[in-house]
Amino acid sequence: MKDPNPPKPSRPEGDLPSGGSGESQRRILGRAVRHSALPLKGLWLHYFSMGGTAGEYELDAYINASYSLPDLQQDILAQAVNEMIDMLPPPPRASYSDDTDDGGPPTKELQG
Amino acid sequence: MQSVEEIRTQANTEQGQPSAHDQGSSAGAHQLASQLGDLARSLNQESPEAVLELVVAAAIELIPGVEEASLSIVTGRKEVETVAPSSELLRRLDDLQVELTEGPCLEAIYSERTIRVRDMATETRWPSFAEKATEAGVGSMLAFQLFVVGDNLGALNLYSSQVDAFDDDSEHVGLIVASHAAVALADAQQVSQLHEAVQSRDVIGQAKGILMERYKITGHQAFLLLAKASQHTNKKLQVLAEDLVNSGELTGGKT
Repeated sequence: MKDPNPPKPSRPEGDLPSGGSGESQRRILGRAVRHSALPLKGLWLHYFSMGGTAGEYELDAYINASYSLPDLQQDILAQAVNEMIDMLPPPPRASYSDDTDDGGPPTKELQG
Repeated sequence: MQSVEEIRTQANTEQGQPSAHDQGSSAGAHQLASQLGDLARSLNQESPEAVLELVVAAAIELIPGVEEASLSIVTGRKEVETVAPSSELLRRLDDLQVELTEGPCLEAIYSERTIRVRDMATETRWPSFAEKATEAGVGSMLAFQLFVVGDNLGALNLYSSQVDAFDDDSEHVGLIVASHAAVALADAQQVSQLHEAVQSRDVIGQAKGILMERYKITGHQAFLLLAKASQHTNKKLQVLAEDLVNSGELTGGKT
């Protein structure tokens, strides 16, 4: 499977690991899923909600084995993974000696 | 607690039993089992909203002593929502517990237990709630935790205007109804999640269509455009798609 030409990106900057071969996209995604321990069921539902067409078992096989998905499906799954990672609660942080309350300063929420 | 399988088996073995002779003041065991079997079957076929109302109606009908009933559902471990209350008073009473952060329903939800309040007027475990509930005419209460899957919790709340309306029988039958309710609720929640997912798919599909037509690009390219905009704006792709469909503008996209 050959990777698609990116759609004339306005600004091809930074943080998206740019396509590469489908295989490396698969490995990077697998690493992200395992690192954050995303639950398969929730991931599938989110992927499905964005137009994903593969089933839960196919996703499992794609993430953990060498099953391949069509390019669009890989990108939908990547978006689902990134959104789920963004939704994870921030890890606990340390406090300072002049912090008054237990929780430290209010953490900024980026969610819209 | 009795498993649903056991209840179903029990209900099935009791099926076909004559029930007409059993119209006394308390429901006989045979009749109860077949009623529960009926409940299990009908819960399988209903829409999510109907399931909740059916559970509440069944609780009132089957559990000895119940006058009014409601379900409380916890969403995202925080928000407690009252569903299918048999009267508006119950919604207020359930909301009151959330406001006061005390009360038998909350206790049942979070401590995985069955809570019985024999006499609301002399109740000391939740003083503020007990006072308000007594004023509202509540005599006694019974609340069951529902063992719903994962983070989703809930309680079945039963109310009576009489003091000491609930006995051990109420608790036994209540536990069985609660276990049915838990299974039905888990299913209903799954169905409504799927429903939301399908709506989201539809909106994202429309957004892709707009971009495809506007920029003469493929569906895949349109999706990547949305994904990039989502990364740039830190907004969910579905939110951007909705904005695009409503306003015609893609936030954080091409200018």
